[in-house]
Amino acid sequence: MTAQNSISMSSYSSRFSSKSLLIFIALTIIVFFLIISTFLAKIFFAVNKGKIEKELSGYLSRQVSIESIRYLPPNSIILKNVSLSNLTANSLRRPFSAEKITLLFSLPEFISKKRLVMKEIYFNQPKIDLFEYPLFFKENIEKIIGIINQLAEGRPLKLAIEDASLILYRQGKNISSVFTSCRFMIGPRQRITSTGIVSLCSFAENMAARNNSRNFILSPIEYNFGAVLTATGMAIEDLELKSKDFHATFDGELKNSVMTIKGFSTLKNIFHDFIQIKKDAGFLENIKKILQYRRIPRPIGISVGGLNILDIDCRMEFASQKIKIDNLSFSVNNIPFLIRGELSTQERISIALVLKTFSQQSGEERRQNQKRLDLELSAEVKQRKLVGKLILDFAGRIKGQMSAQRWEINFAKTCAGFTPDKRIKIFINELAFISKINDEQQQFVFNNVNALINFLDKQVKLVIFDATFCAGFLQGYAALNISPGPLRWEGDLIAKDLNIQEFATPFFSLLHMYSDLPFSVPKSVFGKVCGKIHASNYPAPGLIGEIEIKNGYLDELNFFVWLADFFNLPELKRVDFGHLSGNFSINSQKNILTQFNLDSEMLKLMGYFNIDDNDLVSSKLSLLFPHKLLVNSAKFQLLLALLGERVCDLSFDFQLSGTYQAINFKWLESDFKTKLKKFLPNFMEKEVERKIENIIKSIVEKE
Amino acid sequence: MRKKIIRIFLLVLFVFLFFKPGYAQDETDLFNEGVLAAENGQPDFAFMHFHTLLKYSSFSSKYFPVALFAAGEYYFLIGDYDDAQNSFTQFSKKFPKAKALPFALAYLWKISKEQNKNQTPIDLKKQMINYKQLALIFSEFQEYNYRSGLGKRYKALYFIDRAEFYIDEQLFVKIQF
Repeated sequence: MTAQNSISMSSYSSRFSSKSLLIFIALTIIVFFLIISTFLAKIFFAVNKGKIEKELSGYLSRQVSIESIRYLPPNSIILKNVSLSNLTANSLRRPFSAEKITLLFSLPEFISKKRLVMKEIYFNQPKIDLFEYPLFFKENIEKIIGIINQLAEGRPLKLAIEDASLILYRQGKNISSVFTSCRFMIGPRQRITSTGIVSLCSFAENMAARNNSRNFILSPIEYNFGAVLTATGMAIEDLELKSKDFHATFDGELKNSVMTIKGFSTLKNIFHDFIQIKKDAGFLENIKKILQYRRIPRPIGISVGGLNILDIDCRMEFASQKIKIDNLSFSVNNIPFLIRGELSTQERISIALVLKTFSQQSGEERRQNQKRLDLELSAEVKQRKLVGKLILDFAGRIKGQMSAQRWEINFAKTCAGFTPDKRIKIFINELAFISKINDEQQQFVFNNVNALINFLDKQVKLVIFDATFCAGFLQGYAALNISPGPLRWEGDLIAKDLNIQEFATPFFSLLHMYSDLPFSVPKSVFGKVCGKIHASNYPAPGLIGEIEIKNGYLDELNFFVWLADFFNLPELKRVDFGHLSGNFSINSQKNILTQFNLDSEMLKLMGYFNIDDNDLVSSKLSLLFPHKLLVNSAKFQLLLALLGERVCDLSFDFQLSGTYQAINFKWLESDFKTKLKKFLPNFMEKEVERKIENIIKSIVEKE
Repeated sequence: MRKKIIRIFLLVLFVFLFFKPGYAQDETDLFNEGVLAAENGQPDFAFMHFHTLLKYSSFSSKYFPVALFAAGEYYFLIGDYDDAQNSFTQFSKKFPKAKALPFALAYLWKISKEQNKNQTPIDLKKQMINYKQLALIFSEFQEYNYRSGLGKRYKALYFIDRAEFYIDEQLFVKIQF
């Protein structure tokens, strides 16, 4: 028995040993083959790297640079640090670069037919610099697609792009960029599917493109895309976009460079965040998560606290140097919108856009529609700065009547970007704002405008700005509260050293266009104005502020001209002053100028002046003539001598009342007045009163 | 004898026809009778005469505004505010330069306050304020006087911040501005 066992055991072990030996030999051969092939591939790629670069450079008309090409068994080719640059290579920045490109080829095809047919291509951290090279896509996309097609040789191909970035704007070391990670499957039966995520971020250049160094400007948007290639383009079966508060669904077709899509979109929680009650994902939720490309019909979820953009219908045409929007129509809160326009890169990048609401209405019906809006935008990029014009036409109720209004904004040398805290930063070298109501218009020109816009807050949209204006400086803010309820806005404006005639004349003309202000700034006031204005519309529209004019003069002001003639004091025709100030408040009930104060060597004038909403005036003013002015007037000297007064400073206090168009005037009591009254006979008093009544009438009429 | 009577009759007829006083004399008579009735303390009879005068004369008549004002006074006196308002409104529109205008406006103000206690008739107030632009250099106020067809003495005192209207030295209306 033992001998038999030993014989079977030895035959077993010999069989086992030969099997192991065979396996070992096979493995050795495979490993040897792999080592040899790796070694050979390494030599091949090292020798031919230059040739490959040259071939690609010739095809793409750009300098192609590849740090290294290596083969990773069994079927991967890895290209490290691939970049494209201009042939002249003047700029240090490259239009395209990728940390790694991995090509997976079909091993059976290679072994049997000795052909490299790619089945998967991975781009790792590709970067396209659209800020330096805005025409990169236009010039190269067809060739790059051609290379991919050649590599795939018409077979199904999987394309994956990880952490791609399209640099849109660069300022110093801060970069604003579109980031995307996506997968494309170019499958059998001409089917293309893609999923991915797109976001808008900013980051510091030296931090490269690592996830944790990015600031998300907008929430990342996921997309699902499914289409079928046709002879003339593709049929888009499903295009779905979604983020935390946004969802959109489209379908359509792309045919001979014309794309037509239809769909709808919802924006949730745009006013405030709803508290979401979290619950554990159930069985159905988990199934939904597993299915990447859903075909399950879903009900349209109308957003309660947001916006529903319904009936989206878009027709766009793609030409070689132009994208044309023939028609983009949609409806928001029962307001129909229509957009037409084009984006051109023919000689330079330009955009022309027209937006209309209620475009189907015409004539008087549209003119009287308060919700109608016509917006026209035309702009082009010149030397990396934007130049253009924005026109807004709309109807509004002004002074109780429907009026056609137009705002026109002309901007030159404009550039924009994002700050690290996700605000939009805009610089405009020259900005002209024209406001037109019916046939009246006013223009304001601002220079070196800096603006910071915070648009991400759900309730308050805020703009902070500063600019050069009327030879002075303006800064301020404007805030719009869009939370549910009446629309509320407010703003502050701080002015420094503005030329008063340049500023006040168009400013008050603009105010007069919108309201029945009974007064304006006299054309005879000159100087540099500083001040602060606060405006708001809640609880009621109104302005309050303080104003100060320094080192200016009053030239031929009617009241002082009369004083100059009456008292023979020609110095009063031009009154130089160091300081003219006042606090004011303007609202629907009252227009008030309080603490009015004119401080000049020739005279001092102070008091208050109110006009209520019925044009009724109430005012008290105090006018002081200093001694050194009175000594120049023979009339005054005689008068004072007759009254037995020594020539010294003389004060006159007045009270005004009545309507603004027919102001009543009273000289208030003083010692000087009492003595003068005793001196003058009655008939002369009446005569003086009659004369002054006529003078006041003529002054008010002139003003 | 018969012929004599016929001659006398024709003479009287002739005198009556050719020396009839005409309508102008009626206006003056009516007016004078109205004033006389008012002086005798008979405002009702005075109103009758003025009312007749208004019916048969025109706006251009020199008695018309006085009669119209008097009619308004009478209506106010008897509490017929609607007719008083019509009379004074017509007066203020047709005779904007009349001496009695501020007093007609004062009546309208009073009637308006009686009827609409919570509303301030602002247009009326502005008309009263704008009656005369004031320049009070040495005076505290300007005074305006008027004697109406019903014999009442009206006085308006315009101060810088108010206007006071008196009827027979009694304060009737005071407006602040």
